[in-house]
Amino acid sequence: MFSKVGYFFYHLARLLSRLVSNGYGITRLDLNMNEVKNKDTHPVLIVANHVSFTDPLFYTGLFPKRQLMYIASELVINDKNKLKSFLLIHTGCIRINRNIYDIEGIRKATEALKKGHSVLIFPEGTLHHENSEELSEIKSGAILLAVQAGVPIIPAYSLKRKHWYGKRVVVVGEEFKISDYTSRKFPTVPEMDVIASALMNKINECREVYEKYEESKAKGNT
Amino acid sequence: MDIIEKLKEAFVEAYGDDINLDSITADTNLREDLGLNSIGMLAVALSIEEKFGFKFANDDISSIAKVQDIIDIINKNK
Repeated sequence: MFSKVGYFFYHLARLLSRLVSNGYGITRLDLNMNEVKNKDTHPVLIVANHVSFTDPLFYTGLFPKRQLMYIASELVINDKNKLKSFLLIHTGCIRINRNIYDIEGIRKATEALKKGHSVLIFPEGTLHHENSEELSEIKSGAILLAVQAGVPIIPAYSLKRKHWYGKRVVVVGEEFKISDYTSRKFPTVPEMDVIASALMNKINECREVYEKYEESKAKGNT
Repeated sequence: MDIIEKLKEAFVEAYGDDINLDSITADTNLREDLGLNSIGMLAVALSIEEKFGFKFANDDISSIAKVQDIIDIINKNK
């Protein structure tokens, strides 16, 4: 999966992101607004909204027991900024070209999951620069990937910190199993669309908890 | 079993009963006649890979318009 250089940078990046996340502060909440620590290690597909280029950094710190890789668009990886491009290539990024039928990218992500890595994907397919709370429609590619790898999905929602010194809060939902939505081993494409909508609802649940938490924090109740 | 019949099985795996198998011939256009979207194309391709025991390259899938194109790729990978 990694070259020697890639392996070195991947683990260096994991270490740095854990240090940075712990240093900056990150809070993981469950759906009951309880703060939880992640101890699970089994591979999952983490499906989250995307508000910042630093999202993979925070999620790596949030799931320290998991060997996290993440999916990024070919366009982002081929950025003019060579340093950014280099870091993305060597820190656990799986390239997916959204402009073609990227079966090779799907295969690489599936292979990573089958080898025990967890994979972070932003299925809205775009970065919300405005820190918008609204979610775009989720594309079924995330479902296809989870089905191929046979792993559960973890929905998550977060926004950027309001202040540089504030903690980043991420609400993480319960594991979402594809088998709960279909009797088939591989759901059909129409079923995948339905499952994508159900997953969207789960992320929206996380969003609602996030908003309640922020509201109660603003009132000084937490 | 000929290739078309085996391909029909792959379509059923990907689309279930939502696809009209009788309409599938070598000349069928996947997007225009069957309405396959990008995820549909990938799901069908993955199902074909499993049935025929080979891997598609990205360029292969981009070049597919009709069922005959899939048959050509299968024959090329035999």
